[in-house]
Amino acid sequence: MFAIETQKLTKRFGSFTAVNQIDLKVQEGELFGLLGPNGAGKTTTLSMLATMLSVSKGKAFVNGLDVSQEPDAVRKSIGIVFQDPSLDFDLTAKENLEFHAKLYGLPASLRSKRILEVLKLVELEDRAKDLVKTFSGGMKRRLEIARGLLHHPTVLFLDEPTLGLDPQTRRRLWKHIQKLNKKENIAMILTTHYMEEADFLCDRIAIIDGGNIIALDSPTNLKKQLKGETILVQSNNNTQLAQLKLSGIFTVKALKDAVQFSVKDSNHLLPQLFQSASKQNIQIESVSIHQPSLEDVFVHLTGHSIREEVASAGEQVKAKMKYQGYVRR
Amino acid sequence: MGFLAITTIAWREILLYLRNKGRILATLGAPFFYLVILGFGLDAILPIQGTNYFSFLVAGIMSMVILFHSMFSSLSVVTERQFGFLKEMLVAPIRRTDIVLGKAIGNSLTATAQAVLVLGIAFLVGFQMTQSFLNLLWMLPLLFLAAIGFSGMGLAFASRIKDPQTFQFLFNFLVLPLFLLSGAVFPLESAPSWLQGIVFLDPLTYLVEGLRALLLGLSQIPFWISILGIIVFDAIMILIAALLFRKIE
Ligand SMILES: Nc1ncnc2c1ncn2[C@@H]1O[C@H](COP(=O)(O)OP(=O)(O)OP(=O)(O)O)[C@@H](O)[C@H]1O
Ligand SMILES: [Mg+2]
Repeated sequence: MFAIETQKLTKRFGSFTAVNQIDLKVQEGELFGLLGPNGAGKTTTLSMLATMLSVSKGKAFVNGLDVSQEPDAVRKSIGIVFQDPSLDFDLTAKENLEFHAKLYGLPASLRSKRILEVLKLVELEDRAKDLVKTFSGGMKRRLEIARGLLHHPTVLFLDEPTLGLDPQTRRRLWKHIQKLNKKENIAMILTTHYMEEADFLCDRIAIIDGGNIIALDSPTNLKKQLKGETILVQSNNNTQLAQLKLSGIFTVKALKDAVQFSVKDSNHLLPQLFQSASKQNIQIESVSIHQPSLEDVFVHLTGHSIREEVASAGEQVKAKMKYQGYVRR
Repeated sequence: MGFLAITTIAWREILLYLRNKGRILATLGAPFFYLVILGFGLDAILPIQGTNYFSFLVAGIMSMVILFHSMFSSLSVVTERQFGFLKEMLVAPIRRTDIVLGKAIGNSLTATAQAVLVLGIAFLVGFQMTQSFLNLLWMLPLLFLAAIGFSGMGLAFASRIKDPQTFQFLFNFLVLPLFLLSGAVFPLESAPSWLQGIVFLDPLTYLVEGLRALLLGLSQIPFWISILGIIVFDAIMILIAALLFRKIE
């Protein structure tokens, strides 16, 4: 049995399709990532799996239970950490957990023991009696994760668990998530638009964009799609640049305002590139070289960058050039 | 499991009420001033059959507190939705009806406490019951039952409202008319007949009349009709709220 299985799962809001015929299979105990930019349909997918949103078309099963047919049984077996905070800030950490334990029907004899246990897992046991409004963002997030685990779910959904946290707190939370995944042996479905997060944490990743799954594999295999090194080049004529005949190139992709080359060896390619470019009267404005990251895989697959803040791959190149010049990563 | 869910949700409402002492005091301000200023101010010029205006007003202001407190505590669902906590309840393996019942019971208990505090203030500034003190035991379930209906009404609206700014509109066009039309501040028999018809459609009227019967032995309608009217009102409001809560996504 799979922890999660979907068959052509679809969600429409009016005429807009937010999630389009998604097929997923997540193993028991697996740490699975949904990676995609803002508006990709990650939260919508999780909401359907968690029975919070009706399914427009297709099917979804959690622990073999149909989310549309047996929502109550599904709810009992899952835990969820929502993208937006969902704690009662006017209650203490312990009161929040007690409330949850009772709603999920945890027997009275086990409640306090289990509450202490999950508080320890996220290292909040000495803050149990403090009001949640006095917690930092990272502490609130940890408490929500503890709450999601409280009733021994077999599947835990984590919607952007580290959104808005500083890099240090984010890394600590990763360690917690990893530890919990092993220790409690539960399947975790995590959504994120942080590449490093998906790369670091997940056994497998589904890359989702515009409601479609465009790739699904382990981080290592995804990166293997782009062999050797990745070069991003910006010029005054990207279309023409992408059509240059060069040797030692695996793939070329013209993006909105840059060209992405995936090559065996950049030392070999660069002189060639500059030569043929100047022959064709193309002016190269910037170049950046690095080992392929998931970001490159995403750019390669979708033709655009995952982050809204960085409007385009081209600007990204510029930003990189500014700080690193020709320096390799 | 339904029972545990209901008591858990109700207990949270009570806990939040008790924790916010400032709010308890703040919401006692308006009833206090109504009683003292309106009550004593109009005492001399508004003759009431069988009592005085101040004593007459006590039941009205207690009813006002039940109405305001039940409605606005229940509307807190709207802010719970904004701050995300509502989702914690919606995704739990409990019936939506349990959420409605838990909130209605919790809010009605705190509304009852609030109304009893107002009665305490009234006694402090000189109110005198003409009926047996044993009637106060009857008063508690009466207050509680009326509060259930108004909590249900608040929850029904809260299930649909997305924006707390709508509260102002609700206050002006629903809560205030309900209060003023109930005979809380004027005797029913002195109202023109066209108004009397509307007055008996206002559920708050049955609470006001029931309370006056218990405190002063004065009432336009028999006590059992008051109780019956309130129970019918409760059933309708809880049913509507439960149906609307089931539709929340
Ligand atoms: N209730 C709704 N009504 C209409 N459209 C919606 C609704 N909820 C989501 N959408 C749309 O569906 C699309 C997917 O939204 P969703 O929240 O699933 O994205 P996401 O991948 O979680 O993005 P983010 O990273 O910003 O959280 C968006 O275009 C959004 O505007
Ligand atoms: Mg989202």
